[in-house]
Amino acid sequence: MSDFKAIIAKRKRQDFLFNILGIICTLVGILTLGALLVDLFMDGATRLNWTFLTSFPSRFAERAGILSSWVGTLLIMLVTAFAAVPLGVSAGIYLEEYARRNWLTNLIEINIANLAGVPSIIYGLMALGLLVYQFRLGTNVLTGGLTLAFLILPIVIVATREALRTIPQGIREAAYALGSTKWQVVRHHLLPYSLGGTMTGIIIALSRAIGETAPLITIGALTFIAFLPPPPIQSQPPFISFQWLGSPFSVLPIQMFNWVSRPDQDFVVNAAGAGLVLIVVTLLLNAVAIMIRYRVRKRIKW
Amino acid sequence: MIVTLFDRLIVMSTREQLARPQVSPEVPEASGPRVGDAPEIKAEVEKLNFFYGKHQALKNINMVFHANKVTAIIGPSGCGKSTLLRCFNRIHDLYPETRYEGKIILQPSGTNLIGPETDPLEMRMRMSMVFQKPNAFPKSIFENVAFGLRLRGTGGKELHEQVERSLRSAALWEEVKDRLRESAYALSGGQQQRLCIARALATEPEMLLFDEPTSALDPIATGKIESLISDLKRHVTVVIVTHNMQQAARVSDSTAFMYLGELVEVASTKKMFENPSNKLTEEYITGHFG
Repeated sequence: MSDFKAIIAKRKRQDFLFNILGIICTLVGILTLGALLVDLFMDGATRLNWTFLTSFPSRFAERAGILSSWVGTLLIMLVTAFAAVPLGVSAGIYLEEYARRNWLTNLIEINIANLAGVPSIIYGLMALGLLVYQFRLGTNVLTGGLTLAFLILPIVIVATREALRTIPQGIREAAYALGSTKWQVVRHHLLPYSLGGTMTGIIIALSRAIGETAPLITIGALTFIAFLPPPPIQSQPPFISFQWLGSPFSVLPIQMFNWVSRPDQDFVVNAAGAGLVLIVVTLLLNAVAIMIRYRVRKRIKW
Repeated sequence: MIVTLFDRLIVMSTREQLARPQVSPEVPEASGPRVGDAPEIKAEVEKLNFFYGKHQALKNINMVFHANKVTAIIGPSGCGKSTLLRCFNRIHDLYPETRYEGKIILQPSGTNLIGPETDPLEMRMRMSMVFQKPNAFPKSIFENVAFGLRLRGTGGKELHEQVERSLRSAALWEEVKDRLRESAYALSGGQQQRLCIARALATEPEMLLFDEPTSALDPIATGKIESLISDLKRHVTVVIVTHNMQQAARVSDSTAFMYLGELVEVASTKKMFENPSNKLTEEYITGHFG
């Protein structure tokens, strides 16, 4: 009996030690992130006000704002989402539900997973060669958005496929057994039931794209821009204009990069302010993703 | 094994408590043909072979299914009983490298339902299947039953009437009539399976195919579904695959015993369980293997 007690005590010590180790490892991650956020907030909060959000960049740090870059970020994200979501979701549905399993689809599958890991600057180079030089689309909101769409396309495809895979086969068989065509099964069952997972994947992908700098610099995004793209809604017919797609742009991370690289300390504070805006937007996007996932999980339990 | 036996005992006693009107065992059923009352044939299976890739899962199956009767298919796991059932609504066609040989002639239309000229979609519109695990859609109770009807273009008042009629036939109406808009997932497992039966009935199929419909349910829910199956045969030809021999004995008019992809014996349920002609059948029924 006493042997048992000794062995139990020893094993409990091991348990305790790992417990402590685990806490330390977790704290390293959380505290670093926390310190970064607090530092950013301390620096940036002083600069964050209405004028900062509604002013163009300037030679004078105290007059400089992020109007053109947050509008740029917003428009770029719009193009990215409109390009990547239909392409990625359709490709994901095709690969998961329509394509026959053979060596070709296996090869495509492996390569899509690899594409998600390709460094983002490579996408920038590809977009520069293809969109800017080959198709002569110029460096504008359209090409910037498409570049980021290429970047997140594999993530959207993988997320769509993962979401479809969580739907039990029995649900598909039930729908087919009632006489549905493949498209009816996709349209009335698979798409709605996988919406939560797909949406979460899309939002996570967008929140990755929103912070991307390298590919946009590669295609030649501006670092200083003191005008806005033409508005998408006009007072004369046809009321909707796509002129803004051809407009030059800057985005928040590029603006930050530009300000950080200046010697003047006041500009570094501006960069912190812009960073704060960027991080708040990213966190909001992630919060939306979590909310969607939570609501869908409450509704659908397989 | 002990647990299964115990379950069966419970099932049997619950069945007695439910006091379903028993068919008198003296009346001959689908067995010996009686003058002027030959059972109508619903489907004839002729020289049916079925392959998953190179593996032959069904070997030269020949049998008939009588209209408005319950036919049970029994046999040990992997004997091909579900494979045979799934030929009837061509659900195998969803998967690659599956192949049929032979014929399944559906009467009175004379359609060869596995013929290359027959569209699997048409067969799925004419057949209905209830699966092993309740697989209600994550939609409202109403939409679950309505889905098959909507695919067929039914709408408006007719849709509502047909949904109600199907839920009544599946003995579920009284339990759900006040919450048709609620999610089907709010129902219990047994209720969900009856919802799946209502969904299958709504499209007025020629045959109703049950693939081990009670294997995921508790004894009381099982009892309800079994008495439902016995009632349903008045309107539709029923085929039920089951691994539970007592269930086959309770609900079916004739029983087919399959082993290793072959049809060993098919006869009236009474004969099958009291006096099987094949030694293998007898051994399976008495629990010597399987």
